[in-house]
Amino acid sequence: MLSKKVILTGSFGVGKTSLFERFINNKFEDKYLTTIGVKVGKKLVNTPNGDLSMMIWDIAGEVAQNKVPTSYFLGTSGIIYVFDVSRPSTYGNIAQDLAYLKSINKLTTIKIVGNKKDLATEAELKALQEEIPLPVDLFTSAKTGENVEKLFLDFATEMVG
Amino acid sequence: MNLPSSSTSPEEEAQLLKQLRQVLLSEDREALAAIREMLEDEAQLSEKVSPIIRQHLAFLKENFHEEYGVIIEEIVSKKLSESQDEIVNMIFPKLNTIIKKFITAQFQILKEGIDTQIKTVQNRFSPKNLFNRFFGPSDSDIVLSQLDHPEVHEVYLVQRESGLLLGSYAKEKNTDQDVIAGMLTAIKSFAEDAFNRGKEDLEMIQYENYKIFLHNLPSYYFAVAMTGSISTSEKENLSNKLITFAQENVPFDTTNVNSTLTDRISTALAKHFVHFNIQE
Ligand SMILES: Nc1nc2c(ncn2[C@@H]2O[C@H](COP(=O)(O)OP(=O)(O)OP(=O)(O)O)[C@@H](O)[C@H]2O)c(=O)[nH]1
Ligand SMILES: [Mg+2]
Repeated sequence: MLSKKVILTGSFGVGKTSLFERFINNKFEDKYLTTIGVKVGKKLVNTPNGDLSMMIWDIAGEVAQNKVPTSYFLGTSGIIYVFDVSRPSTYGNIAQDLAYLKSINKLTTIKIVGNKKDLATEAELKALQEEIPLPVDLFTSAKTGENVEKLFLDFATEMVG
Repeated sequence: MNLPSSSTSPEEEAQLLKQLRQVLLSEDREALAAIREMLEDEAQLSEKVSPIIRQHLAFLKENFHEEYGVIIEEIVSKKLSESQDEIVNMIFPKLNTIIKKFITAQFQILKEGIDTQIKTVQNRFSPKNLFNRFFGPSDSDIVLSQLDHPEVHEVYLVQRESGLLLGSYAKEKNTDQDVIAGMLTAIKSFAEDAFNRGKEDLEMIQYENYKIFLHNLPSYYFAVAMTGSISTSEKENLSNKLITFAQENVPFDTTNVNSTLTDRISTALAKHFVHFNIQE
């Protein structure tokens, strides 16, 4: 079985820890406890392409990605860039952030995820997608669990294949 | 004044009433004039009103929370939740400096503790101490070895950049060694980034009774969890042991981490470390 590292990044309070907890422990916490440093978790994922031991790094949010210690991104096979669909400030920087992430991780796959889907209507999400200069890969809700499993499973499948 | 008899004429009655009104209301008129005067004269007014205001203020001071606490709390918490983003923005940079300060202070305390102990040793001029000073282990070695014997509990071999576990050995079966390997790597990255921007490697992490000794090689590192104190010469023994192990058991290319590789390295680690005595 392969092992790969995946990192959850984005601004603070967007729900990185919540996605991590939902996927690994199937739990959700309403209270906001900001992450200090990094939390590493593991989940074994069975994909059509083979099994994967996914090591997931949940890091402290930063308003701009160039503030994240670059060493956290070393040796990572996938980056999940999370923003909060209900807070424009969390996707205002998306173009610069993605350009920066691509520049430091040339070979890494990056997924863009709009979280807290439960706080927006389908129409609002559509409008949001038009406003954001890059294609959003998936809208998720760590609260309801919608698309969380899919997010990690699809990513794992790609990484194994 | 004579009381009017029942036979008074209407004119007389009117006259009498007028007199009566004057008698009864003249006092009121005076009072009214006095009030008007007081209201118009600031000094007089303040003399009257100030004590009342003062008293009320004192009451408020005492009972503000009871009277208005709930309302104020509501306003504040509403304001806070409206400006959550700004507040977090403000607090975040501060938090970082506070943590760094705390770590620096803790290091300082630790260092001072060791320094005092070294001084104690230097003050003891026994022949043995003198001999040790010139031919034996260093002062800090003596201090450290006086504490307690070192014992290796766990050994991890970790891919340097990704923090993925390449193999591990533990005396007692441990929960999630992959997660520990990741966390160690994160701590290592954080410390190296924060203190010297990656120019030097972190060599030791202390956690409760555990010391985690780190030995860095180009593409992976060893993390050895120990209890007790390790002297310089013991550290050297350990480093040599780790290097030999790496040469004999770790393949050159460890880019792809899979369970075949990790199982093989773990088995080898167990063989080498189950009877390892760091003092020999
Ligand atoms: N409604 C809703 N709330 C969410 C969702 N995901 C997270 N939250 C809430 O958003 C807040 C922040 O979530 P976290 O998961 O701690 O955010 P984070 O990105 O890890 O934040 P940092 O660690 O500070 O970078 C918490 O109060 C969560 O309960 C979601 O999908 N829907
Ligand atoms: Mg978090």
